[in-house]
Amino acid sequence: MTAAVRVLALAKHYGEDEALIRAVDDVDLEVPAGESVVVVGPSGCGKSTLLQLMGGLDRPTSGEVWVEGRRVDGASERMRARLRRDHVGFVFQDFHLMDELTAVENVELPALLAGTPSRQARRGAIALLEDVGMADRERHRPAELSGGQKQRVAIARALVNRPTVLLADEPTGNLDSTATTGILRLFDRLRAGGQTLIVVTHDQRTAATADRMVSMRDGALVEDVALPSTATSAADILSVGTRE
Amino acid sequence: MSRLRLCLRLAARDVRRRAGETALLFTALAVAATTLTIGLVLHGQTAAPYDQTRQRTNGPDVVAALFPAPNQTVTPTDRARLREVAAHPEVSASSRAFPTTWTSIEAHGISGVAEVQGRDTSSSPVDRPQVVSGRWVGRDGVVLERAFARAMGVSVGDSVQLGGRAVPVVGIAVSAALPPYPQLCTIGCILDQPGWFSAEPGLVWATRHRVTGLDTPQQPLVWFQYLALHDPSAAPGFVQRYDNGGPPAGRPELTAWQDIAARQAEQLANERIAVAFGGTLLVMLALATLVVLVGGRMSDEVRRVGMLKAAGASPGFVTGLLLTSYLAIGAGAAMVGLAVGRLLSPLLVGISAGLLGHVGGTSVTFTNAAVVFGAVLGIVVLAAAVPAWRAARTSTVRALTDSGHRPRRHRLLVALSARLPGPALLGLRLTARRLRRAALTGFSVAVAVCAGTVVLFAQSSLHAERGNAGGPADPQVAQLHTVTTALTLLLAVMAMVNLVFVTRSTAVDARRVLAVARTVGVSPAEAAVALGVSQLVPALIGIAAGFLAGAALFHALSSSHPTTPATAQIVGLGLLTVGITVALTAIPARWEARRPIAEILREN
Repeated sequence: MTAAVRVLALAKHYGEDEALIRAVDDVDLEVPAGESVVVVGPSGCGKSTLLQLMGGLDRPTSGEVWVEGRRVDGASERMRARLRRDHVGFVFQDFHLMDELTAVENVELPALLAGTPSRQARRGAIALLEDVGMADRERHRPAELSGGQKQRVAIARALVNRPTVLLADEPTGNLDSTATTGILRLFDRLRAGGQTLIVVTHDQRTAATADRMVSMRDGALVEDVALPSTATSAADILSVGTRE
Repeated sequence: MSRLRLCLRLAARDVRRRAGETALLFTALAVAATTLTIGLVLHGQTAAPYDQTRQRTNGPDVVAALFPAPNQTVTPTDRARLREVAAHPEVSASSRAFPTTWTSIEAHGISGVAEVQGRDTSSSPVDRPQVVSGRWVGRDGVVLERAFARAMGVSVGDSVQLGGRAVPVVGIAVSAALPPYPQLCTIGCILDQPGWFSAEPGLVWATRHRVTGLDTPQQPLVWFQYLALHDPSAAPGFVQRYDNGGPPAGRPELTAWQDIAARQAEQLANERIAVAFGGTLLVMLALATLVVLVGGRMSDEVRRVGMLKAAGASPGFVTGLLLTSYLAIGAGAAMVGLAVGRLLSPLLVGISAGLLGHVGGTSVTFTNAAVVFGAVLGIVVLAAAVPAWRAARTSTVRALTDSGHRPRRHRLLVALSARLPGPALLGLRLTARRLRRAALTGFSVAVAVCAGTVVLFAQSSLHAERGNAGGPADPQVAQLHTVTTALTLLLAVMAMVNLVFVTRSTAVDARRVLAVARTVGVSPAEAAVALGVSQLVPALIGIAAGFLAGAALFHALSSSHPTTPATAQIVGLGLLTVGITVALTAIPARWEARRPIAEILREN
């Protein structure tokens, strides 16, 4: 089976000589389609940089990045833009929603930019907002939403072009416990639906909901373990939290 | 003292930290100061060249002209009335009465009308025209007034057809006795020939004998006599007392030298109007630049104020610091503006070739300098007042977390743009996020296009007038054209400075939005196009508004029927403006689009 994402000897360095920082250092990783992977590690270990390199948001210093069987590390910006539009969805810790747009307008934006007719884009956005439990907030603007609600909208936006891979960078990092539980439930549903998920986190509860956990330290992978049957563990963990 | 030193050090670092912004602000203020200087130099300088010419040519204090009654000629008995005026006790000296008539003149394919004075070959006690080239009139040729000679393209040695006869030009001269071409006729002319109705005659000096040979029943001789008074300043009173006797009816018509000076000043008055018009637009643009600049750096400024207050700075110190930075930039710009204005004014404010002397670049007086400094410093103090006021009343915590104004939502525009292609959708929404900034872009473009349109209309009208009449060029129009062209260039520079400011602010503001758009698949080229569209929309509105305003303004200001410029010229002006806008937007757009998304998102 073709891996959804594969990185080989991936490195990202900043600065030079004495000031050289190896944010990502010789990382090999393969994520099969439909797998849910969490990347954990202390702050500054290179988790977010790895995710950005996998999604083509930044260029590696060396190494290879393959998404859906296509090598993207040396691809032109235009090619990488197409990759992000068709194959990869991003979720950020601080949401990055457009302040002046409503929830539904934020969600439909990537579809419109991909050339989807406006009515179809709107229908898709509304359906996704229903999926993430935000149907009753579709006309609210980001300033009128809680952190958890904003992140649900951001996840819906990331999914609107039906990407093969969803990359999430600390999706619960700015959320309280209740909101975190809500997002984890959502991820659990996505995983169950066969969505490839790569989530960067240092939240243990988030980590425990995945199929596999990768640990990083000082830019390098130090551990790569399969987690026990997520169907039960996720349910156990999520039952601890309260409903949002 | 140490507080003052600290204030100066911080102000200097702030100026260095934002060198680019400072340079643009400096340019905007310097251009405004330059225009103000030119305006002030021109103001009140209109009399200088005429006074110099009057002194150097022993100009008359009063011009007496004896016109014949309709269908009659001036008889020797009538001319006795001129001698009576010349014998008045207030008159200290006079020229001999001399004949004058109007006839056709042609040279180098240019046809016009000449007012030919029959003068003595010897020098006159009053009005001794200064020969600037060649020599004074003789039996073998005529002398042309300098402004008229230039308009006809004639120089010494050329031959002109005067009343259908070839006559050599033996000299070019300048006099203060009559207003120079093309205002000669404001004292009085007889232009009864067909096609002469709208002609502007120029002065030609010839011998008495030649003039008496030119008169016809339609163009009878008119007799002039120039008078000098014991008290030149009393000339208007002298004329008034004489005119109290009612309509001329065979009496000479008198004109005081002050009236002639006023006619001559009309030319500079037109230029003054042009400078005032252009200056007003420039000052408005300078203010727009300041609004953009201050608005663009407001949140940064308030955050800086928060940091200073957190470190223990009092509101007074913060206000002083802000004022010091702005005042230093303003003072420097005012000095540069004064120097450039002083250098440019003699070039822009060219005097009529019919006069001697110059308006001069030395007339930047202490008062002028004070006015320029006062105006520029006033503007920058106003600019500094807003952040200073906010600094004084905003709490330190709020100042530290200030993130500027939230973008506005425009529901209809969001809905409409959803049907557009990606870059257009993004561009239009970027425009809508900061409507005031978009309005400033539109305003800057509109002002530049308005000025450009006025110049196009002026050029076309001038071209049409010359083409239709085949007559001599009007030096007033040409000079006015120089002034308006120079002002348009200044306005274009200023508008470009504004566009650079606005585009940069828009690019910085749109950075996060476009980075997020790139995370969902927008390519760097599309992001750059989106930024271009966001500038192009207000620019296109500005171009349309500027053209309409320019056309309306020219129609309102123009005394004659204006000629619409060629479509190619109008389209060219529009395309040039679009091209400049796109080029100025492309630089920051490409720069932002090349940066990695991750880097931009980390910063924001």
